[in-house]
Amino acid sequence: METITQNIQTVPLNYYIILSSVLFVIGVMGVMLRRNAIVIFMSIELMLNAVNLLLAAFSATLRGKFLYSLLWLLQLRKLQ
Amino acid sequence: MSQSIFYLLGFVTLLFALLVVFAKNPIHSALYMVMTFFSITCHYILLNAQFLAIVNFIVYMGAIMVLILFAMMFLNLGKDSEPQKPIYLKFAAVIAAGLLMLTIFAAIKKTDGGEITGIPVNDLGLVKNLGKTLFKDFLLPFEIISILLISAMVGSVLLAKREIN
Repeated sequence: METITQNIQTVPLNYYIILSSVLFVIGVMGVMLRRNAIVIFMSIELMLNAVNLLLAAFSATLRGKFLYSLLWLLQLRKLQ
Repeated sequence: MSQSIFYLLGFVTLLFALLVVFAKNPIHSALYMVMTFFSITCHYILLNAQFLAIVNFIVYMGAIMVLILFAMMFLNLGKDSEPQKPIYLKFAAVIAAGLLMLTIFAAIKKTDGGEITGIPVNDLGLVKNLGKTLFKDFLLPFEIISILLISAMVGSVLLAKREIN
């Protein structure tokens, strides 16, 4: 685990921003493209996951865990 | 080394996300969704957020995707005969998504704060440190969240019982 922690320091934060924005756009495209309700639901999940990934990448530098737990609370409520 | 892992994982994530959107059969797109979640879990491991990774693995890949697949099979929604949108609407959707991506990229390029080159990874994502943070600094919000969850659970039980009568 130590080596992973040291290795990750070479990946810039910009890459994570770009990756999660592309994921988000794919989710938006799925919502606009499909007609099946469950697939639209899954696309919304994709968007939520993109935002979660971005928050996790930010929280590697900041103290953003609490934001993540808020988002995850929304997920849990939807599951119920 | 880790850059190449990141590239590989990002490629897999985007590929399976595109397959989710473009797969014809809804069950296939649910299975591609599982792969997308798995690669996002690997991203969390790379970000040194172990708790996040475990929770994502259990809840998303375990619970939510099984729930979706069950719902599809019970309600018989996974038919191939999904009503297709007309082709010009599909073109419009793809073009609109491309424009949105262009806007987001322009906004990212315009910001000056995006120049952080390396992430100084902290140990907050480990389970032990996360628990300490949650029960020391964020104790009150944590309790409020638990109250909210309990109220949601009670509400769902009430709704389910009312349907029986």
